[in-house]
Amino acid sequence: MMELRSRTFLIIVLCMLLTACGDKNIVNSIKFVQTIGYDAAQNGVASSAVIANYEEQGKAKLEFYVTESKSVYDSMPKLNMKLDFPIEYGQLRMALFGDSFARRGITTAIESLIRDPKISSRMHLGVADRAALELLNIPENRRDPYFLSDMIEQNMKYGNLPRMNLHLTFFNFYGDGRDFFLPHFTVERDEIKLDGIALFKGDKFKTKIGIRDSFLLKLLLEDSKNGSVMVPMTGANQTREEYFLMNSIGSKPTYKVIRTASPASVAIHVKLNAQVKDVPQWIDLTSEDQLALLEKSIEVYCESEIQKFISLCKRNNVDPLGLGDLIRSRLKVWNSQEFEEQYKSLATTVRVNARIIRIGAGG
Amino acid sequence: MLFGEGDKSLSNEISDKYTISPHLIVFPLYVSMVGVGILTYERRVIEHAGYNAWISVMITGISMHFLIWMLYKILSSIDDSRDIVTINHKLFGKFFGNLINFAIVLYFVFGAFIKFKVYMEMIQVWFFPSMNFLPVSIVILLLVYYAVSGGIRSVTGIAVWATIISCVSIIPQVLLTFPFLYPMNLLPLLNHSASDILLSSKDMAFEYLGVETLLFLYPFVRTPEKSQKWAHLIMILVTLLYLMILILAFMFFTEEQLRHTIWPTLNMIGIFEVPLLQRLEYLAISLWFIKIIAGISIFIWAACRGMKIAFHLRPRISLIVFLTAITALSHFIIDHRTVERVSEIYSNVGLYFLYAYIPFVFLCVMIRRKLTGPI
Repeated sequence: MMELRSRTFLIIVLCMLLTACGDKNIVNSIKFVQTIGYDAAQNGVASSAVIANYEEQGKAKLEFYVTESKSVYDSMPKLNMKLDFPIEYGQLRMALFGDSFARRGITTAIESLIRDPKISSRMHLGVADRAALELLNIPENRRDPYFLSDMIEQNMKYGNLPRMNLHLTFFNFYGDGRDFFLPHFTVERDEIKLDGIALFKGDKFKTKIGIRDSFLLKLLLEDSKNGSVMVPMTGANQTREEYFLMNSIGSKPTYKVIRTASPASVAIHVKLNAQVKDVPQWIDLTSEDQLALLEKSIEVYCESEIQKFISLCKRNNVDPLGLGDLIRSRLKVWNSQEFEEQYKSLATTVRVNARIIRIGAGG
Repeated sequence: MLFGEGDKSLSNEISDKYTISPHLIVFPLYVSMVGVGILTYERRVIEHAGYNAWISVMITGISMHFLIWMLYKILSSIDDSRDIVTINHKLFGKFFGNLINFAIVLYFVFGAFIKFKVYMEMIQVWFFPSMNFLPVSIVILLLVYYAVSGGIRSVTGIAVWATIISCVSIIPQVLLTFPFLYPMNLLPLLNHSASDILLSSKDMAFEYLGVETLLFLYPFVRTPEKSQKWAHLIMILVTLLYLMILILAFMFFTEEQLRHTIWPTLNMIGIFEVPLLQRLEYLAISLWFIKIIAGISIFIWAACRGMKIAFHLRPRISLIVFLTAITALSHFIIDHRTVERVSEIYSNVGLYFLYAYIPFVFLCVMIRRKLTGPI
């Protein structure tokens, strides 16, 4: 009995010892970098860090630090030279790249992010249409250190953004026959605005697409739930083109490889369930014929816009849809360079099947 | 009470009080095979066979069933004290037998050290980069001391908990990765040569090292013949586990990305967002702790047992010596490169141990039995 008791005691003491040894970090005595911006500088990189200073409970004062360094790697040590407490970036949730920085290539920056085990692979990346520093300085952003990442998060859930994060960026970056894309920000009336998606070739920012095309990209990649797009239509006795709003309730893309040899050919089929609520006056949503008309216009519009989007990708030689990967999966030997040469001649057929399954509460 | 069998009697007879039921063998076997390797093996096995490496996992798994069959054949072929030490004595004589026995003991201690060091390294990278590890190692090894000095029954007890915990942490992982999987990554199904796939199978064998603890466990199982089906069962489960995690990783990462990822399994866990816990991988590493304790304990137990029957050395003494050696070694080996090199040596030695030494002993035993009857 004595032995058992002393053993139990020993175990408890040992377990307690295990918890007490470590580097402790108290929230008041470290600097949390929550958003970081990278800009191209004269000879190297200008990095700007947004740090929240937790003085009182529930209140945070944002601090803003800018340093210039030779490369991304020494931006953190350089930043430490300006701070009174050690820097900690386990809570980093957003990295924003300035336009010229992104055009020069972002490999070093994102690789140094993924190598750090402290940084979550769920963090977001983004591209600004100007210097990142300028965008981060917008007063709105200075209230909340997570403004940008929350904005991306909510737009993926309730808007037109396809799913992305650091992990998926790497998935597309290292994936054969894939190119990654990041959200693109601009400034409108002194407010930050998400205005589309930046398409990358390799690690370089190539071209930007608008928020409507970003819906198409979402439609082609995953379930486009909650995305919305304005669809044009002309009625039989209407001369002016009018628009109605289509909300996606759910969709599913399927890809079929028709031909793998050059020129390759791919058939894309999208099934789309939609909600239509705001329509021109002359349309009666309770009428079966009118709904069929709306469905038809959604299909026609989406099909032609998707074709336009794909030819835009081909023109810019970017492959955000992973069509190269699709062809790769059907071939025993696949060469990315060879595919790139024939990418422009790749043929695609697009078919969209739209069904309106909800029409709002009447009107 | 130390070591169950009683310190004073140095005979090799094992009383019923210290044996375990046949079905319980799955726990020590699972714990000794599945270690920290499961967090990193994806990157290693794709080195040659690329995304066809899942075939390699199956090949290695099947070969392991043959090994288990051989082990049981060897161990059941002698009548008294059914362990590898006695077999070595009988086959190779006292001197050479003991030489081999000592090598086997060292091999187990080495294995325990690798398990310990790799886990420590992981803590260092993920948790506390600047921590002094000597006090922590001492505390961890004291826990191992406690477990091993309780004998095989307490080691098995810890193994049970370790198995339960690792099951609990694996099931949610399967479910939660689902939205991030790209099955297309698995295609094309066959684009590597047979030799590449076999080379990857060789790399995979490292993940199965630990099955050789059977050499010492066997006499501690009540009616050991009955435990064979359980050993095969756990081998099937472990193979399925490796296969499942590997295929998940293949669908989760692209090939090039996986080559750049050091801890793929942890990164997969890290993609989940759960309420309260921002980073699930940190919880996973902490849960892994008990698994590591159990794995080290079982290896050290086997080593002490080997010392006892081969050299009549008191288990308490060899236990203290081994643990001190591990602490000292891990204190002096500090850089990642050396750890990599040392575990490479270990895996090569293990490979020869499993695929050369055991079949050799198997052949010797079979020939002896043919020539002179039961040994």
